[in-house]
Amino acid sequence: MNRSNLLFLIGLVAAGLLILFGVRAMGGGYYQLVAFYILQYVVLATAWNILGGYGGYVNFGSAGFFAIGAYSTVFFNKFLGIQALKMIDLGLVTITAPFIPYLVVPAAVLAGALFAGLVGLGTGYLTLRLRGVFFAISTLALAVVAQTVVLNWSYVGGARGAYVIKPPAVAGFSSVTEFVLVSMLVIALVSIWIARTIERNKLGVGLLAIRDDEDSAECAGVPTLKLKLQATMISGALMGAAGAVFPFFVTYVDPIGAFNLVHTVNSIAMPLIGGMTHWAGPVVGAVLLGGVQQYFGSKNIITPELSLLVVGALMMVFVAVAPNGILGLFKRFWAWWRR
Amino acid sequence: MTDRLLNVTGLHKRFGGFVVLNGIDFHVNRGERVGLIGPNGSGKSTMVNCLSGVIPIDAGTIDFGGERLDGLKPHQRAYRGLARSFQIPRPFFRMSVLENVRVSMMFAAGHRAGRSLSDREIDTGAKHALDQVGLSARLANTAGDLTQIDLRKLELARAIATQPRLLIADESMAGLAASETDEILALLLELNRQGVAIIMIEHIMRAVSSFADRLVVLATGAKIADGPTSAVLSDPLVERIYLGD
Repeated sequence: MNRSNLLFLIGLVAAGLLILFGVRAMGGGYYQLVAFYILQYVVLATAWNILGGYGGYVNFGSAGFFAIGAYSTVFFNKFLGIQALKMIDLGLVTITAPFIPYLVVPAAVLAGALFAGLVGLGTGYLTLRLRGVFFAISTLALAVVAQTVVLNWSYVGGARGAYVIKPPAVAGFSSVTEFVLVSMLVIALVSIWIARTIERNKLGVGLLAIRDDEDSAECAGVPTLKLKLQATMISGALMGAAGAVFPFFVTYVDPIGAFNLVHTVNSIAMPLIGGMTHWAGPVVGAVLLGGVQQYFGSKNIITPELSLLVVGALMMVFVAVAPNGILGLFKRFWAWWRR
Repeated sequence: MTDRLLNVTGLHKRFGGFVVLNGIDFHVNRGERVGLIGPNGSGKSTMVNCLSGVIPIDAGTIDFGGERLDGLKPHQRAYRGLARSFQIPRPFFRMSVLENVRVSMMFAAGHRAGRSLSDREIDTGAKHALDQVGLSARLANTAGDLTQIDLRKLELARAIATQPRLLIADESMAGLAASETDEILALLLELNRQGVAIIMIEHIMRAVSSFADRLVVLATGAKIADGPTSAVLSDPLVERIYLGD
């Protein structure tokens, strides 16, 4: 690992610990909810940005990928009877109840990421020959199709939704909620690491070339379809991973919540507002927009519906005034300052 | 070993009911300088797009260095050494000049080398290509800020960085002043001296006649002449169809 990567890793771990102990210091409770909400959007925005920001392919299906992750947790929870488990006997080791979440949550995350990643790959294969608005519409269709399937699938609760009951305790954590929060925190940090790594390797360079001119990129040797498929799969997998943790936190999942338009709008708005050409853009956007939404929501200043309206208006303002987002504004200011 | 690098037979392309290329046969030898000319709408740009794989052909074969290219994607053709520039420059506008050329080095040159090139190799190769076209002083400029002549040079630098065996220069001199045309011409001649075969598509007859060893003339989707430059230019049919009565 080179020095830059090592320093970045140390920074990520430090930021993670700061968030964890910061939330603890504030007394958990409501602050755990705020932190979870923001971290969830850090993942969704970062994941969306891999295809949408770097590659210029606008994905309106974020809610679909997120919900696939959430429902994979619901499915396996029921199918494997995880809720009723008091211990897991693996032969050499027996895992007792307080340690079961250490196995179950990461397994759910992997399963959610795998399913959403595969759906991303399949969707990408069918749709990535389309460009521009045609691709965007096809991803919107993915979310609609997935929602229709879930609505009519009684095994995972159908329109009623399904409960995922939290285990009573987790060893080493003050509460199960804190453990789930840490799980989302880890996914967020891993997402940021992945986005930064992509940005600096062939995949990122190729996606930036695709965003500017796809034919020209092809003629320069960029295997555009292959890179777009990789990006869609990684992006979908990260969204699925975030979705897989969601049921453990809220304990109840229904199609309206899992496929909520808010997930899609926020995952587009946050990179747009933060800046789409750098891994930090979606993070800045998620923290600012997510924080503001939570603050106004908690004070009953703004309803969730009105919040969407505000997000839409902000998107329009940024597209018109600062198309490179807050990071772009900062860069411009920095260039002006150094002149 | 045959001297033939590119061999096109029976190339056919139609858009709906409109036949743009009607059974074109032509070839390019290794290291040759070929001019592809024809009036507007004769099918030159479609030919370039078909050869580079940007649009699929309807019928015919494209053989390059003994390998069939038809059916391959543009990047796969670039890996085999077929490069093109665009008539209207299409750089990666938000990238710097150096980053633009790095893309070609990273993907096409890397593939041709059979391994991932190191950052240093990519930088060195990209800077060398930019040096060849005289853009060394503009490495950090954003491509979107370049002048027309510099954009043309950048197009060529990106193509050069793919380390081509054949370069299709699609109207690389369009819209340039006479002195700028000479600059591009000198650049293409130098590239050819290094062994790269070049197809020049151009309307500036002074440039084509001084550059090409051989001319291929298209008119309304058909090849009407193919031969040594001086002979083709004095062909009465070419004079009438292309140069006017």
